[in-house]
Amino acid sequence: MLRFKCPVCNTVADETELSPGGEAHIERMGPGSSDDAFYKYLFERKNPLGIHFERWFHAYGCGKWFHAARCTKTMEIFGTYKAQEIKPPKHIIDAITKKRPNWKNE
Amino acid sequence: MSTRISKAGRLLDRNKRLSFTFNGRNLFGFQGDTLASALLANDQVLVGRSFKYHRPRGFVSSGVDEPNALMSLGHGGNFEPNRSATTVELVDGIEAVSQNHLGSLDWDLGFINNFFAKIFPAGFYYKTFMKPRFAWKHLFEPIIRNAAGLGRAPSLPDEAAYDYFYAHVDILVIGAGMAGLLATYELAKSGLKVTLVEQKHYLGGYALSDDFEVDGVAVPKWLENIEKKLIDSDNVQIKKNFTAIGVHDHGYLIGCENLEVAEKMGRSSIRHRLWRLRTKQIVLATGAIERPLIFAGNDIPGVMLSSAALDFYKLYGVSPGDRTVVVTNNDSAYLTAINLYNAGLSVPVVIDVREESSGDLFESLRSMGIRIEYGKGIASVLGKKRVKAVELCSLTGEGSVQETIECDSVIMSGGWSSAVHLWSHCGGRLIWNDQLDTFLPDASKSPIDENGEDFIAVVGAASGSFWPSEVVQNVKQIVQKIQKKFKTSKVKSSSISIQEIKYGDSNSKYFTPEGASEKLKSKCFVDFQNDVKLSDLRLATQEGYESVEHLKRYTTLGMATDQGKLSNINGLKYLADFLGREINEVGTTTFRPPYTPISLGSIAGEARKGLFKPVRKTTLHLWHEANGASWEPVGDWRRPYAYLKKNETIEQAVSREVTNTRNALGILDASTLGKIIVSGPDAANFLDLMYTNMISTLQVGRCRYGLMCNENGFLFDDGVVVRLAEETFLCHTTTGGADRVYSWMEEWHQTEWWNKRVFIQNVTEQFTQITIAGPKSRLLLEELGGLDVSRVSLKPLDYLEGELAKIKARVFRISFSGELSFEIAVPSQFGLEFWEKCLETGSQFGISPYGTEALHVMRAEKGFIMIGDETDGTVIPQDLNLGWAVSKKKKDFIGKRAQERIFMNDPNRKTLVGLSLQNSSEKIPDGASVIIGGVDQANDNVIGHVTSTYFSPTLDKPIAMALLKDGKNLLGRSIEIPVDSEKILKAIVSEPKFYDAEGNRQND
Amino acid sequence: MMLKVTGKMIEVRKYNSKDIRIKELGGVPMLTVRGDLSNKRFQTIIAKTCDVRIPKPLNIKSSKNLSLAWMSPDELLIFSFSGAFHEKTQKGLDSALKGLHSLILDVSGARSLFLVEGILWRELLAKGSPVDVRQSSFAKDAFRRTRIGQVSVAFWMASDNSVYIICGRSHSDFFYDWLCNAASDGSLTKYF
Repeated sequence: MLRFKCPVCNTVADETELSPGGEAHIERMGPGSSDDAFYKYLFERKNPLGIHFERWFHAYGCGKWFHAARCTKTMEIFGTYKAQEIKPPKHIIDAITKKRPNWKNE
Repeated sequence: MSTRISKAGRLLDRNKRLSFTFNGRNLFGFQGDTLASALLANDQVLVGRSFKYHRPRGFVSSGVDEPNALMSLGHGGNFEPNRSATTVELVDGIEAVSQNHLGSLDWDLGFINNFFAKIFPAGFYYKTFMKPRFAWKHLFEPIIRNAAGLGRAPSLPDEAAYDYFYAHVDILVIGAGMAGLLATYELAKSGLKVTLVEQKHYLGGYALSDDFEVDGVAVPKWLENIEKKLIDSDNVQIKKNFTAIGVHDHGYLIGCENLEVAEKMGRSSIRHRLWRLRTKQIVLATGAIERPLIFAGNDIPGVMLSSAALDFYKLYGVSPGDRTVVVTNNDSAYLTAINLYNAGLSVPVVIDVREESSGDLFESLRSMGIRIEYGKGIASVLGKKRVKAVELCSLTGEGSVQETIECDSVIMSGGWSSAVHLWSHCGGRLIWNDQLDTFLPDASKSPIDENGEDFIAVVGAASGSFWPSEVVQNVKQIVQKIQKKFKTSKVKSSSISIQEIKYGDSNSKYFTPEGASEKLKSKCFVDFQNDVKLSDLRLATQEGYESVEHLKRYTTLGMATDQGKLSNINGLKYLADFLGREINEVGTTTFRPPYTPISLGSIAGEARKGLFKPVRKTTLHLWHEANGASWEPVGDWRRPYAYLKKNETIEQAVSREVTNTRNALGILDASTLGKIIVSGPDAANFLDLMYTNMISTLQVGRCRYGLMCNENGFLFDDGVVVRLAEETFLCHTTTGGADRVYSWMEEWHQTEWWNKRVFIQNVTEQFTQITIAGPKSRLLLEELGGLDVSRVSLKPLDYLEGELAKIKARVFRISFSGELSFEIAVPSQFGLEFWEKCLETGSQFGISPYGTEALHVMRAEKGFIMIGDETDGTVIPQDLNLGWAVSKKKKDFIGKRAQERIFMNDPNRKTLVGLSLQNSSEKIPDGASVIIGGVDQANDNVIGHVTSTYFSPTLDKPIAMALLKDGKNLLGRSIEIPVDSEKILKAIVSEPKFYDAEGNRQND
Repeated sequence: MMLKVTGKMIEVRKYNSKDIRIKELGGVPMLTVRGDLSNKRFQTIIAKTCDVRIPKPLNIKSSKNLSLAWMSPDELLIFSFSGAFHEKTQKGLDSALKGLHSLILDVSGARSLFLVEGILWRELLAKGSPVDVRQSSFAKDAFRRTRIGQVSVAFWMASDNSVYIICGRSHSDFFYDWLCNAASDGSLTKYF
């Protein structure tokens, strides 16, 4: 049973107060995009055993979405950040590399 | 026999006699007893029958690891099967019944299985019940179901109450033995807040049965002193009868508090409480569990663990028997032997599988003159329902009997397994320690919390510190570590002087004799409850089940309700021996929650009956209820399906409601429709992206029917959008879709288009929405007064705001019935008042409420679609002839890209059509397949399915809609609808509009 | 933070157990105000119109006439102590906030308000909410949105011995039943 600090309202939210939103930082493919790009946008998701950037919705709370960097193996959370960040911010990357020097964000 | 002994029984209050029944027999015990100790005190040694062979069984343990003494308690709505008698605290009036026997416990007909044990070996089910196939259902299964199994399921609803409790604690200490108590005391002393939980109804653990001295007093007295100090401490919470069930991610722990005694005493209305704890630090002080030794007949009633015998004697003053043979591979059984001897009972022999022993306990035994046989084992225990004697043999060899020693009980110790289950639940690794002969937590691979920090520390026997002086040292270290983590000021730990006791080394032998014959092996029980014997393990390993996971599943070793607490290690040892590997290489199965079984009631908590699932009600709910509503669940809502009058069937009511609305005036509670305000400078632009239609061209005061697709291009919600003001829109959604659509808009706004300046607010519950439909609806509104609703002022799809019948209202001229119709929204505080005014004023026009079914019939007569009926998550607007509502001009909207895909324009896609039956008034079955060219086995002729089907009272015939492949080209064709293997309905495909296709009525 | 309603506060229904008194209260008007809470002008207008500054995140504040609750970085909830003041506030905000991207909505009928009184109110909340309701974490002025059982709620302390809870109006029957069950005699044990 996970818990996250919501970066919007700063409460530590229980997993049951949140709903999961899957992988973060997926760029939307709108009209005019290639079939391949659109297919990837719709259906292709990373499923790493390790660091994962993901989306969570503070449903029973402030009603805002946020991002989290979490290790899917150890459940360690390296930080949460605003849903409006289009890529993981530096302090999150730093927090990860500090603990996992060999990790690379591909 | 087992009797009560007056000079022991620390937990008993002998002034309080309690009566209870076992299999209908009236028995007595004392306050402080467990059901187990009270039964044993009454010489009830036979307490159950085994799962497979129905062998007679007695108590093996005194705690949660007990495999045999499962009983059914109570009756009627308080009946509970499979309770371990060793964990039930005795209260007055307990009704206990033994389980798993055909006939009486003493004369069990199922025992016949025992004589066929040879044909029930490991994997028996897999091998035997293969063929013939029919025999499974009619022969094998009924017999197996009858013969095997534990208690029967309750037949009545549970009368007890259960609940949850969420709590956040800083430090949670699990287990109140010597280590747990000491750790709690030391941590609390440094100012930390500690919660101490103990699964038993008393504190002290095994140390309470021990004799050594601490600080000059006997250990039980010393423990009592600590307990007193903890009770007085403000920093400490103590919970007895609280079992830690599972440790989960991020410091989460599930615990079950057993309040049965408090409930029976009238102090609690709750029976079991499920605790959901968030902890910063867990300290495991869960102790260790003694293992049985394996020898032929080790399951005969009267054979028990040495620790259990010591507990029964010391805590409850109950003897295991008059003559007790001891068999052991370590010193702990010596302590029991000494105590039994001192109690005046006979200990004819201590059989020690070790070659020799030394130490203080050994010296005591010797000074008492108790006979010790080293390097010996038990060939076999004699007796059926009770131990009669043991046959002594050499440890080596195949078990030739050297001497038969009469006795009525046998106590055994095969060493101790640290209780590391909770460590393992959340990813903590275990390593085998050869010297201590147990798995221990591997501190280098401990469970971590969300910050990547260890959150579980282990103290005492659970960490391998078995002897008192080690415990003190170990606790000191761990406490210092935790103090550092919590940055408390340093407090000197108490100096504790432990009586110096020397113990002999244990060895790792687990079965006797070493070369046991096959005949003996087939009586050597490894897992008592599941009847897994040494011979089964041999067979399974020989057949190639060499992985511990396979062995477990093939033989059911460790899969009983005790979850292998007694059997797993011995099974692993056997496997390691067989494979010639170390136990570490063979591995252990991962421990998973729950640590001990908990009641289903505690898992359900309060969510039963009326509290099972939230029900949402409109402001008119009570009115509906008082006026004959037959309810239909829609999402979490309850909506009136139809209003039944006296002696009316549902069909008649629906028909009446439709006809009345079509001919006069109907009124509907439409409050459940979602209402979402979208407001801001970019609102129009934002909604252009949300809907497939163009919303930005909508004029203030006008309504437009809008569709919403997901990114796959599939239709998922529809509703009327109203432009309330230049920058403010009101979006109606389906009843079930309000929360979904609101979240959907928020998600897109927050995560994709956050630069668009809009606020989205779900105001569904703020309004009571009422539909007034029928040719006389305008008359009613005029009569209510306050707004000009004339044909000129309020045209179709117009919207007005003002006061109606002196109540603030919004009026939308929209129709889902095909009749002249107005939807009126009033603040929900005034909902009932407005509804009643409508009915009162409308009576002159023949007003009558209609329910959801009449609504559906009318919309189907008009060919209007319903999300969830005509859509199923794979349907696009174009399939439903709603292509007109998909903008071609907009550069982008959600779903636009998907609709550019080739297969979305496939002419073979299913499209919506109407169906009319030929020569039949029968209703077409909902969801039925539609075929052309007759039924064929391969289903190649299926061209689609029925999406909506009703009997139309307006047209006096059945109507239906269907999604059919290439439906547009089937108009006028005859199709078939198979109802069952015999009956096939024939229907004609038409446009999905059955009534007033031109819309003259609604546009009136 | 007690709601000092001047007019009639309707007692819709009540339930008393040995330990807890539960009341559903009607007649407390509520306004939702959306806007950028970090915007200086927005802050000034709120402070001026409501006679109280915007509370810190996760807090509630009161003036003589209303309580102001922080819902999210762009949402406030106003509980007015009289119908007249409610209308005045709504009109005041409507005109003062013109030109500033904002939204003011009357939500008086959208939510139900409960008052739970009795020293064991924390224990009652703990039966259904995963929130840390220890005194050290949840105290006076804190306003917390969460769930209780399966219902979305927000709660804040009315006094040392009582707590207000709001939930969606359509859930009020269910939630009232939940509260009564959780408060029932013999089911609460002092813990906090």
